[in-house]
Amino acid sequence: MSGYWVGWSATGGVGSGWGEVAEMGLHDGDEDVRLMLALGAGDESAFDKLFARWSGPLLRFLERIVRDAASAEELVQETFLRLYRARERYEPNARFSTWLYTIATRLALNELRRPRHQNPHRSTDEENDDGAALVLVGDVPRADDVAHARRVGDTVERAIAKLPERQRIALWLSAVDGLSYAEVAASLETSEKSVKALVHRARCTLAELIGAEER
Amino acid sequence: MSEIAERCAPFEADLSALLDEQLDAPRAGEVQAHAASCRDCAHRLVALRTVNAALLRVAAAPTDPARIDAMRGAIASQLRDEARPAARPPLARRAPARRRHWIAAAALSATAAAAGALLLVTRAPTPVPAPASGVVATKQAAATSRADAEVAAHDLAAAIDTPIGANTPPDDAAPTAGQLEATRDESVDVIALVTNLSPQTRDALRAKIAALAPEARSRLLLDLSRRQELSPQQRNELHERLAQLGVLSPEEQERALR
Repeated sequence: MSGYWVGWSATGGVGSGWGEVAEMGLHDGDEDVRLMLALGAGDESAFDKLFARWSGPLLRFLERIVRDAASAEELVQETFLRLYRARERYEPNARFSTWLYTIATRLALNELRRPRHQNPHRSTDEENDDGAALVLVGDVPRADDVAHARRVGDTVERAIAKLPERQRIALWLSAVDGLSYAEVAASLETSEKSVKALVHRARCTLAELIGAEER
Repeated sequence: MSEIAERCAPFEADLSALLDEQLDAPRAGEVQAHAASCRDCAHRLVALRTVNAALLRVAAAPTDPARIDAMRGAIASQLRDEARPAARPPLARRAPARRRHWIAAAALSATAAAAGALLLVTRAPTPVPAPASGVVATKQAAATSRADAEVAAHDLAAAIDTPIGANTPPDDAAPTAGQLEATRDESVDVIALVTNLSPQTRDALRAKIAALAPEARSRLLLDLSRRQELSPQQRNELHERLAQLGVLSPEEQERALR
């Protein structure tokens, strides 16, 4: 698999291109791509469908990256605003999810550069001072074993929070959202080799942290 | 390195890739064969697989529908706002007198900033009902319409384009390079707070502000923060942010707050 770049700008536009389009192949068979093309053609209801399909996963991803429920919600909104504004320029040169997560990832990385996220207690590369798990508004405990699930969930959340931000992004996009390493590399503007290393380091660190907490 | 470690090293980095199905078939076969014959790597693989399961459990937690609805509502509201100016007459002909007064002030500030003359110019604040605070304050701060704000932004951009003098006098209170770097994005927030800009205009201004000389940038922001349209509370918030960024010294902040 070779690299490609996402023609995406800070103004939310889709640039002139994805490289190696032929290799990536068109993705117009993808239901999301169909909806995006319909939106570009003027079907506003397609936007609602895309929002219904993707706002939840996107929110869960962004919450783990920026570690703040309100900021994550704002980034979801901004991601969809950019999607909407790009609707007429959109071309199905990659999977829709890759395109969407690339926008969200870059917004999240910009957000993390802002001074309010530079507090050492919330650093993406350092441990939290109290190890407290992020309280995510709206998370609903599982019904079967609420206490146990909650404890396990908190352990995992704490462990995720301790990962460096790029490891966190690479692992989540790959393991949870199912993006290929090439797609993650495009989102993070790096190489597949780097993504492979990021994902592996992240997974090893999580295994150790989760194992340590459970012992 | 022990014999076992040497034997496992070539496969270590590929264990995750195997789980993620990112290896080609021959390599996946090699890694699987190794894991089948190596107890350490087999355990490692189980541990990594456990991580995946834990991540998926966390990710499966449902999101409160009220949050989704709130986000959808906010997007709809933003899109409605963005659609409005396009349906109106050309903005340049509609700028109200009050806005034009500020435009002139902004242009003046950019020019005068080069000479370092406006640093401590203060204006008496016009009483405006103070909104709540924070983000809410930002959203409620639009005492004027978005269209008017876009006019102001356009002219602000023109003001920023005004040539800056090369011999800007040194200023003891000038922020450090690092602080100014941090100011770049914050400056856009300042302008957004002042004029309630659309994201596109904000991005365009971000580029212009980034290109400004550091001293001119800090003074322009300072002058913006003293606009008459701001409520005392909003001005205080801006001054605090500017002080945190090093754009405003504590003494200047104190004077500006009087």
